[in-house]
Amino acid sequence: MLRVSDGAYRFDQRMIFSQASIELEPESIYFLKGENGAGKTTFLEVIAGVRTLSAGMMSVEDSVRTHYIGHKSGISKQLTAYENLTYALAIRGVRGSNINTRQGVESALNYFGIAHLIDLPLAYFSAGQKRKVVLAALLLIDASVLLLDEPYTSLDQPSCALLNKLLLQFRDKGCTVLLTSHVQPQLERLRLLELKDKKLVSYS
Amino acid sequence: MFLATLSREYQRVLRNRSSIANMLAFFALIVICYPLALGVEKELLVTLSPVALWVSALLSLLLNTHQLFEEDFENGIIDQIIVGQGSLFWYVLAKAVCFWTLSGLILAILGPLLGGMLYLPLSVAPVTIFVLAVGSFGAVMINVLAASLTIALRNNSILLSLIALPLFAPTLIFGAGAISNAIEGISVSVPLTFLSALTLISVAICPLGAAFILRLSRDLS
Repeated sequence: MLRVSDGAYRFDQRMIFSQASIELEPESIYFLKGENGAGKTTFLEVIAGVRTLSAGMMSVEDSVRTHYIGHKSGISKQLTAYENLTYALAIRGVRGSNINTRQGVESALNYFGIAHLIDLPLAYFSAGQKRKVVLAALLLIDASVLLLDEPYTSLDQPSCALLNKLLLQFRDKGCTVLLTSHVQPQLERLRLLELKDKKLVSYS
Repeated sequence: MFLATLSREYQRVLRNRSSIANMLAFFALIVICYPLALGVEKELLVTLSPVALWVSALLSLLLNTHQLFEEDFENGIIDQIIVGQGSLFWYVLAKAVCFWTLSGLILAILGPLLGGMLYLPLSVAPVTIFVLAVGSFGAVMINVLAASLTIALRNNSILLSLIALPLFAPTLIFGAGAISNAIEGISVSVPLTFLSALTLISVAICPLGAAFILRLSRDLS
C-alpha cells in the first residue's frame, strides 16, 4: 500500500538517512526506534508527504488515506477543542458544524475522558490534555495509514493504555500504524524498525 | 476549505483583538504625525492628505503581516493541510480575505474620518473609502506573498517589509492619484482603473504563489 525504495533524505548537504526501503503492510503496527537525532521525525514526515525524498522512490496506492500526528500539534490554542477538530475534518473535505459532527467530536473526546472540555479554548489545556485532543482526531478521521510521532508524549499511564487499545483496534480494522517513541510500547505483534547509522533496519 | 478556514480565522483573530487595536492605533498615530510636523497650513495638508493616508495605511497593513502564517507554520496546521490533501490555495485566500476585512477594510472606513485632521474634504469620503478598500485588498495580497517568502526565517519582519514596500509603489501612486483627482474635481476613472487592475493581478498571482512557496518552505525548513 505504501512503499519506499532506496529512499534518501538530505537536509542542508547533510545526509539524514539513505538506502531506506520498506513496504508498509495493512493490519500492522510498526515501531520505529532510533537515538535522538537519528532522523525518525524526518522519516515520518517523508512518509506523510510533508517532505520529499532527495533520492529514491516512494509510491502510495490511491486508496491510502494518511493521517499524521507529529511533534507539532496541528492545533490552535485560541480555538476550542471542538473548533480544532472540526477544522481537522474540514481540511479533509468533511463539512462540520452539524449535530452529528458535534456528537462525533464529543464521543471522540470522551474516549480520552475530556468531553467536558469540548468548548474550552486550548490555551487553558495542560500539555497532556492538548495531546488528547490531537489524538481524538484519530477517532474522527477515516485514515488507513496512521503516522504517529511520539504519540505518548505528555500522556499519563491510563491514557497511554487507552491509546494502545485504540491502536490495536485500528490494526484489527486493517489499518497500518507507524509510530516512534523513546519507550517501546507494550503492544503484541509489534514490527520493529530502527534508524541506525543513517540506515533503516527492519527486524521483522 | 475556504469557508472553514475563513470561519476559523475570524474566530481566532477576534479572540485576540489586541493585534487589530494596535494596527488601528498605529494608523491613527501616523496620520496625526503629519499635521503635527507640517503645521496647520490647510492647502499643504490637503495636498498631502492622499499620500499621508496611503503611506499610513500601507505601513499599518505591514504591522501584523509577519503573523499571517507564522503560528500555523509553527504549530503544524500547514503540515495537516499538506497531509490531508487540503488546498493551500484556498487556505491562503481565506487568510488574506480575513486579514483584509479586519485591517484594510477598517482602515478604508477610518481613512476619511482621520483625513479630517488633514482637511480632507468630506465630499471625497466615498471615493477615499472605495479607493482605500480596493487598493488595500491588493496590498494584502502582496503581504501574503511576502509573508510566505519569509515564513521559514526567524525575525522575518524586516525582510518582509523590504520585500513588500517596493511592491506597494504602484498601489501608492494610483491610490493617492485617485484621491488627489477627487479633491481637485477631476475624473478618478484612470487611476482607479489602474488600481483595480493591479489588485486583480495581485489576487490572481499572489495567493497561488504563496501557496506554492508555503509548500516549498515546509519541505526546506
